[in-house]
Amino acid sequence: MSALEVRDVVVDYEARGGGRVRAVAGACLTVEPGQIVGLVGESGCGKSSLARAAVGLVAPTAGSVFFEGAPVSPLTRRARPRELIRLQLVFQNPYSSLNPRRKVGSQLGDALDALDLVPRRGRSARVRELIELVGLPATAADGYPHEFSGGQRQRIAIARSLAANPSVIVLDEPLASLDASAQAQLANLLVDLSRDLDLGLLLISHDLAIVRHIADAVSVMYLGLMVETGPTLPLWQVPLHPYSEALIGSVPHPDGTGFLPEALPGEVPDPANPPSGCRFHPRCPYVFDRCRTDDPPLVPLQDGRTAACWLQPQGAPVALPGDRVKGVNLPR
Amino acid sequence: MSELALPRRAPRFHWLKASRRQPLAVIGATIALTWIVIAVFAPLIAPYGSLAQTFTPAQSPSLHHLFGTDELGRDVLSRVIYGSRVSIPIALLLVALASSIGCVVGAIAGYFRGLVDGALMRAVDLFFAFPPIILAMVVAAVLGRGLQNAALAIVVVAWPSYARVVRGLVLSVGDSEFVQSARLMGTPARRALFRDVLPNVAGPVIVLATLDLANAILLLSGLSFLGLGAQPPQAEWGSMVADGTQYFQWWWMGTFPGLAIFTVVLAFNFLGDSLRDVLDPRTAWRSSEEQA
Repeated sequence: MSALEVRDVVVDYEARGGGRVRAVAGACLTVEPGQIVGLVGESGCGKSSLARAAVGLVAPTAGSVFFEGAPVSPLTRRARPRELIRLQLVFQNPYSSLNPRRKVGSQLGDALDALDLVPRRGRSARVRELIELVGLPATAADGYPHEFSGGQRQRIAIARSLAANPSVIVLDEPLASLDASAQAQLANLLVDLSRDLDLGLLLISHDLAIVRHIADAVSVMYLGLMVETGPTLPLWQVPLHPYSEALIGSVPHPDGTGFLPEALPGEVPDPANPPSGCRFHPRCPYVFDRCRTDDPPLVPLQDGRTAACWLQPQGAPVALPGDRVKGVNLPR
Repeated sequence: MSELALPRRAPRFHWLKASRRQPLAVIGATIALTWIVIAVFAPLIAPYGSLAQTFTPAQSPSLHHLFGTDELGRDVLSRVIYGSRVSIPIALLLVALASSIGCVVGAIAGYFRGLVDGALMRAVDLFFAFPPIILAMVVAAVLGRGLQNAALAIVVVAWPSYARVVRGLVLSVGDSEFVQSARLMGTPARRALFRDVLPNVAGPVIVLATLDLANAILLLSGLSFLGLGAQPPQAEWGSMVADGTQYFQWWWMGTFPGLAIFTVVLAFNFLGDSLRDVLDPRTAWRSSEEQA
């Protein structure tokens, strides 16, 4: 049983003037216990909407999300069901995700109050334990959020989600607002936590380098849909969808090999008005007639990979024409 | 790992230091406190009674009568001092009342949203459709002359702005990520309202209330000026100014109560403006840090 399963989720937003914007157009995703799944894609492709739908902050227009086999119900005014509290979300911005008027320790105690996992007397000890788990001194419990740096705050936000004894944490760009050294520290922390606590992580990021280093599996999202999924290393070595290829080709390599990143031409199309056929065809270097009329389904290929591209027939992986991924140096 | 070094804690009384950086706050607080002391100890401070018509009418200011005497031979200074016992406590009371009503209505609208919100806010719009002084006059006139009715009229006029501000803040803070986080931790919405939303709404509301104190005093004086508030012979600043306008040649009769209104209003405005910064733990901390 997957820890988290997103099945054909559609998220629509009402646009001003009565129109609807389809932010997520039927995305599928699974996170196994203890697995780190990276979700990558350009800004505006629906990653954050998918994250919100996955934890129930947004009610999906269609499709469903299952957490440990049970459907995730959207949040109402009542308390979230106990069994769902083990599914947590960490927001991108640690400045807006902590209440400025409550001490850190008190905010960390919210989940302990709701779940009643720890007897009342032991709560402050548990809070201190959680703070030390993310590498901060226990005295941080007595501080207010504004007394901490961005990296420290993001650790606090992670500690808060750990208070719920989660089995899956969805991290919505948790590193985006941090500087490089804080990013590296936090990325290592996430890997350690995932290993030590058998924690499934859905790591949403546009920082491909970090995803490549810490994710076990990757899903590539384009304009509300998954275009390719698979284990991280093979996907990075031989991307099977032109969009994954372009994304990976756009990462700079500071290794002196003279590899220059290649920018993907064009912009993400307006999700309110997606292109006909394959959503990627206006920007695809390999586009042919069928792409303009028919939308390719996400089909399973070999070795646990899937792709949604007419160049990839179901069953066997076929390398893309051209040799555009040269210069990608993979960890041995 | 230098990141592990926790920043220096905000010093105790950092709000006090921050307020020292704001001379306007200090001036405002000093004037306001002075007036409160004057109001409390009026019988001890005032040289004469407020109603005693024992002096030669219409004397210009002198050492015996620093603010002169009015047309009935009452000491203007004593009447200004006793007048503070009317304006200031009534203003405090009715701002407390108006902000409480407004907060409850605004919190209900912002919490329930949808139809409840729509209905309450249309009601608020109705109050905003009239100029406040006109509305207050109508309500006061319907209720009948008298200080109590004038104060009630001001409450009727004042609460909608609190309702609107609180509703907007509850909506925006309610959608903030830290409230969503608390909800995801299993906090029910009502608890999050009291523990996470309302404490973050309090700052702006206190600022609004402080600024509104000045409005309340002005409005009360205005109603008294128009004859709807304090009735003669009670000493009230607004009605004293109204009396003064009838005897323009005796300038001191209207000028000194007018100055009293002016200083109190100014003081509360200064206070309100400065409180905005001082009450916010983030800006207060930042400003005391800059100082160090």
